[in-house]
Amino acid sequence: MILDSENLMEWAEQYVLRTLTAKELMAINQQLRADAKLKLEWHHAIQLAKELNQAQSFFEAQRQVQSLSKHWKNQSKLPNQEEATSRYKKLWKKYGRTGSIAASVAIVASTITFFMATNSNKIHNQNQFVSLKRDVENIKTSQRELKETIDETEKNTAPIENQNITGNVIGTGFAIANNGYLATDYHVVENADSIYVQTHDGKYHKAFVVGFNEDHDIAVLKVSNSKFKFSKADIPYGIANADAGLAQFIYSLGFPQDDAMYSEGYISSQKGLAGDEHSYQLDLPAYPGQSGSPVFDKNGNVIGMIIGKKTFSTYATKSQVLLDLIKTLPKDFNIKPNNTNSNKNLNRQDQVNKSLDFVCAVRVYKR
Amino acid sequence: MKQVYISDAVLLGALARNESAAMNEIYRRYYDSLVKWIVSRGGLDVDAEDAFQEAVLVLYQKSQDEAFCLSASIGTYLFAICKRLWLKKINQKDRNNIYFFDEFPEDLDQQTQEDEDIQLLQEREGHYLQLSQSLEKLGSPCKELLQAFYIENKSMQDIATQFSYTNTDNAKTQKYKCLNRLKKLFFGTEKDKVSIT
Repeated sequence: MILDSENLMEWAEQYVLRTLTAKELMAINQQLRADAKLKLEWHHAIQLAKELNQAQSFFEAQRQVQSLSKHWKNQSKLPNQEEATSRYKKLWKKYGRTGSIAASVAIVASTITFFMATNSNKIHNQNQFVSLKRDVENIKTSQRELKETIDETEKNTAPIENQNITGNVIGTGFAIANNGYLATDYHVVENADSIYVQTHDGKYHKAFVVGFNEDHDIAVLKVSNSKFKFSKADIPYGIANADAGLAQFIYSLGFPQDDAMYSEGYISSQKGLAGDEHSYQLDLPAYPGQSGSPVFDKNGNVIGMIIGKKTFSTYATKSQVLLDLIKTLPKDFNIKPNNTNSNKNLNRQDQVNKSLDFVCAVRVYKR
Repeated sequence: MKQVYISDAVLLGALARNESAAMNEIYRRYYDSLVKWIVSRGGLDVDAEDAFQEAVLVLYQKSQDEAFCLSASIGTYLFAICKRLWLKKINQKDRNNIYFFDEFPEDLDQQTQEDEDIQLLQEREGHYLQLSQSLEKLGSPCKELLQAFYIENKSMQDIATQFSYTNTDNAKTQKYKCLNRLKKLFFGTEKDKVSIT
């Protein structure tokens, strides 16, 4: 006799949840056949247990729906990560071929057209997309000579001083971790023989590529010297994880010349060249050498990185692409971009002064 | 971890078992487009969210029925329900407002399959509400205990702590005592009998 009017509900609950063993089920059936009054009670108990079980799952479903609604309401403006990449793949199929041709033309053209534009005043095609790396034409010193002298100094792991390293391509980079990790454009360091980072104080440091994403034209570099730090202070800016809005004020710091240069503008489109969702179109003056410059919003957060220009528009890769690249790097690199931003309450001049230590020129010798 | 659902049938099965990943997948797939659709037909964000929530619950309720099988994709089904809900909603509102009635050729008075499904949910909702109200009649601590278990879906462990029982077994014993009382309330001879169906 396992059933009685006291433990009826307990058995009924197990019956509804289907957790009874065959043996128990048989014993119950046997007992019910013998006792008609108990059978009626059992029937009621099962009915109630079923109802309660259904109610329990229903309320649970209702709770899930409510919390998901809240969640997706906030999320709905941002496209899902996966969807975005698959959409990008489609885009790549659609524009990829022409895009990559344009990009390779741009790399060649920037070496040639800038030379022509400055030296022979020939008008180059205004609509040509141009990467903003600066190509230095007058390198007379042999690369090997330079390399040897620098290799010697490198042994002391000291910064290279009083050595005029020009490089044949110049871009800009900005720190993503104080211990020597920085981001710049991939086209700046592509096919590099050697890479030197010139910090704001004018010192040169040898660097190498630790990761890159060719499609989105970004690369992460590391300064070779393990003791290197950009500054005694921490990186003031954060790296934005969301799209910046249309028409938002932006400014940039870069090295189109030997000294840092400031420029400001606004976001003119949230999509870049040929509708590329991974970049912004900016109205921002930019010059060769500003490739890889960080683009800050008014709070001083990095929202993107300049990649190139076309007539009057400048294009910048979105900061999320950089964050995604950082995520793919080995964990022991320990790059943790700031979520917060200590620049937030400063005026722009102070923001720039604080960020300046973390923006540097990238000088590259190419093969 | 992200769950992959190879077909609508698998997703529906997971939904029936209250797997939160399944519910999330449905939101991920359809929330944006359906809410946008209603908003583009003159609905407010709030209306659109309500309609979507209700449509998902209709689907959930249908999924509990073992005989239920989809004759179209989940997306089509949700869209049909959302559309029907929205049509009814704007019909209740001020009729003088301009709506895109050319988009709604269906006759409102005609009872459709969607209406039946929506009605089913509303009936069940009313029913569960009644059930939870009948818990009130039990009085403390049975009321709170059963509510915590069946409505808030707390574990016996949590309940034991909340109601300061020494262990979960004690809490369980108390729960079954309460259930017995509830059963008597429903089917027994107690004076204010509540009908269950």
